[in-house]
Amino acid sequence: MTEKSSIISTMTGFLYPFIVLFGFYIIANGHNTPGGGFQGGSVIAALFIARYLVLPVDDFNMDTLHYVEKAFLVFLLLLPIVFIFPGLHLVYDRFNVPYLIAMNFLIGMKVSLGLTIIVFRFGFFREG
Amino acid sequence: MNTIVAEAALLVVMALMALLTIRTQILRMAIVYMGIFSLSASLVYVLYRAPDVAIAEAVIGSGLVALLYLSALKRYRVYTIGVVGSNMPNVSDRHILELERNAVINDIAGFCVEREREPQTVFSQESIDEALLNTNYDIVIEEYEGGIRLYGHDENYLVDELELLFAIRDRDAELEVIRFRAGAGI
Amino acid sequence: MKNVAVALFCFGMFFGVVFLTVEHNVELEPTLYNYFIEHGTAETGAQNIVAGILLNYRMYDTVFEAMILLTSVMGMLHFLYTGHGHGGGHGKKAGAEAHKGGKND
Repeated sequence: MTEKSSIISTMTGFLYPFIVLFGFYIIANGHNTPGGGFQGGSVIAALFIARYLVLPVDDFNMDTLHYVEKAFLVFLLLLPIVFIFPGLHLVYDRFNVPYLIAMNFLIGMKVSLGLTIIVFRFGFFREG
Repeated sequence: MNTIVAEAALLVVMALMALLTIRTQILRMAIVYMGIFSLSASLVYVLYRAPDVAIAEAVIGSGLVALLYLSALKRYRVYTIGVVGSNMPNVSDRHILELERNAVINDIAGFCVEREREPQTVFSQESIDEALLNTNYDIVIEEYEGGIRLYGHDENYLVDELELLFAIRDRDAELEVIRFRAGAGI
Repeated sequence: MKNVAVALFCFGMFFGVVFLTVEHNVELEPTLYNYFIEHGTAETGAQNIVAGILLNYRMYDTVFEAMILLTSVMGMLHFLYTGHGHGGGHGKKAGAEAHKGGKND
């Protein structure tokens, strides 16, 4: 982790797009195949962590991550409050599948940002 | 039939890795064993037909948690030895004390290298109370008239073994190991 | 002696619970199970019934799980306070202040 390893950096660069693809596949097909928001979100968080393994620098703004994460949480709370809790899903049942996809996407983004923040906090924390 | 054999083999591997994790002396190897444990657990979940749990276990158990532990380990790789009171004026037997202190520092440094830690010695002017409040030191060496005191933190697991190491060796000067709690002084 | 007693108690509890559950194999009524199998796909539109249950029938659980993740992030930001949002090294004083008590090796 301290020394730069060309094997790790090359292989991570090769695997990067596949990790993104796998994560978004798990999220987008969460209503049909095993997986869902949490699993896909943690796969996407693994992407940021692979980046941390290769290049341990904090050259992006963590505040933005916090704000985006909270915004996703607000939407995550709003969508079921509007759609599920009043019972609208029983009336307009053609919106059920879009609702599932949207919820999986929101949960995935929230989870990936949350795990990324937690890991980066640990990784870049310096005492004193 | 094949499934049962694979499941049994994976469960045995899990038990073995759990044992190795707590028995190994090298912390980095313990993290690797824990990652293998998580990977076998996720394969067992696949055999139990819970693929979604398996994905979460594989990513979090062997990816995120291993990285968190590795970064924590890297953070505490440097073992800082603070030396206090090395220029006190009215100390008799200055010469013996200095030799003794250097021997102690050498012993601790060899011990650290054995444990994959990087020893680093800091000679400081501050008093012993200030040095104990300073959280940068892993162990503090204080020289006083007639001997040397080692201050180790209560929860520092290396201090136990250091105490043992110094207990079985003969010393010219007086040497004792003292435990303290963080924040509370001695 | 006390440790031995504690260990014996733990082992006793473990095996007691295991044997009790083996002895009394309670068969739950399969009404909920059958309901999800029969109506799940039609009511939620999800082929994967786990997603249907998590996001439709048991939405409250999922919402509060998300809140748990938010709470853990908040705890992380509070206890690992680095003085500034991005990275470490900016808030030296604050970090030292927060970590006066804890030297965990």
